[in-house]
Amino acid sequence: MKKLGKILHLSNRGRIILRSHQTPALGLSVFNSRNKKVGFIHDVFGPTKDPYISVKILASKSKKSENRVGETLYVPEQAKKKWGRRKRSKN
Amino acid sequence: MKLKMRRCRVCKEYTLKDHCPHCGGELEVIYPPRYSPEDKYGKYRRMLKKQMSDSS
Amino acid sequence: MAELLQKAYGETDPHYGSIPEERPLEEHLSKGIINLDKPSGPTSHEIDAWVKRILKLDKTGHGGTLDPRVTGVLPIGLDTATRSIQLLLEAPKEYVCLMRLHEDVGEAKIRDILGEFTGKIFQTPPMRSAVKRELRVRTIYYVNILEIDGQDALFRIGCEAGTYIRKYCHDIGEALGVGAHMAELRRTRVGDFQEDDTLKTLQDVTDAYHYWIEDGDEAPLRECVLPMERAASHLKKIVVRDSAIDAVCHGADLAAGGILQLSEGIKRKDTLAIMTLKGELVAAGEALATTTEIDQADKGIMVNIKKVFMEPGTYPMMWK
Ligand SMILES: [Zn+2]
Repeated sequence: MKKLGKILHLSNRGRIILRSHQTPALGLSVFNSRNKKVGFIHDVFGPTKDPYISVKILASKSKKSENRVGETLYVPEQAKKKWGRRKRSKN
Repeated sequence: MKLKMRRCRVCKEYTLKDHCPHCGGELEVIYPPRYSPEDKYGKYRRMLKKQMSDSS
Repeated sequence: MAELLQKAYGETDPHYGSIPEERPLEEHLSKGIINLDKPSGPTSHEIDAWVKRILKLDKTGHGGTLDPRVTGVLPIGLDTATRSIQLLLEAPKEYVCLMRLHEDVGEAKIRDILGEFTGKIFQTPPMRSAVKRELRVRTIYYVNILEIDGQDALFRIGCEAGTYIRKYCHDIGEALGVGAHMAELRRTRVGDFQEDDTLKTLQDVTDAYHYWIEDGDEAPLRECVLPMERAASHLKKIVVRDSAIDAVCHGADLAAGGILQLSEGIKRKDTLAIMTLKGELVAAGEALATTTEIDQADKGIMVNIKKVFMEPGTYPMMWK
């Protein structure tokens, strides 16, 4: 497991928003420190240096996520990190 | 829904206010008029346009 | 054309081609672009069809689609110029946007977040767009905040082609946590087409056509139609000899010997506009060398020609 980042807030659309130094692939599973799956990468947006990550919360977990601001989330190690950057690197 | 964006007739900058905050100029509506391919009143519009340009 | 570097000297034969501004009206129309102020309601495609019908043309095409409710600069290529509009798809765009936040967060936070969302940003195309939903990088060249009034922020944004402003506003809302949406949008620039005296409404175009057909007055229609060369204004340029033109029109790559003038600052892979000495657009291609290299070369291929806009045979065939 690899650190994704700390939860900034829950957006008004019910997504977990965090900031990361990584660029995780869309759809990748996201876990908490107890190794429980909390959701998956819904979107990556904003400054490329330090992007915002939006996590769609699993339906069964959505009630508990309100008190999680500040908690660190993780993604699997074998994440294809360069996924989004590859195509446009020559520009 | 009411649209809020306006543009200054003088300095051409956009604003949400009632007068241009940059130069105090009068504002204009920025949205082009609706168009229908039938353009029923085109003939009258052109007559009016001509009258305006002839008298100026 | 501004400040081109002189590599060699040449003259152009007045018997061939034409200075863009001096084309006879029929030719001017078929090689023209209208800087159209799109009204709210119709799709960009419907606008094309209306212009085609108003001017009784065979073909029209637009540069950079606008959503039905969005107004502003929508360049429309006419007949032969329809193809040249492709150059505008990649051109930088500018919009004036009214973004509405769903809760009050204070002016300072709005200024900070717009500052953060400048430069290179990640943006996935919206779900309903035709483009595949995958991570893309887009450059936001500038965001000039005009006014902030409570939950409303009015700003002018200059961005790379393919940036979705609706998504940009949505993403800012998510980053702030309170939500936001694009309340109003107007496009103010596509390449060199902007909100100035050349911007015309569909009514202007209709009336100009009638004044020409019914009164024989060309002037209003000339005022509505710009030469297709304007679609290349935002590109770096290479001016070629008369003798090199026809080969390029047949798709041949451009060699050093045919080049007379060139822009400063050309880098490899830049899209270049190939122009005649009269200022006509011939083709567009990819630079294979830099300005310095091209200036010093006396042989070899310098530009890989990708799109040809001039009819072959416009200039005499001087190649084998
Ligand atoms: Zn003003």
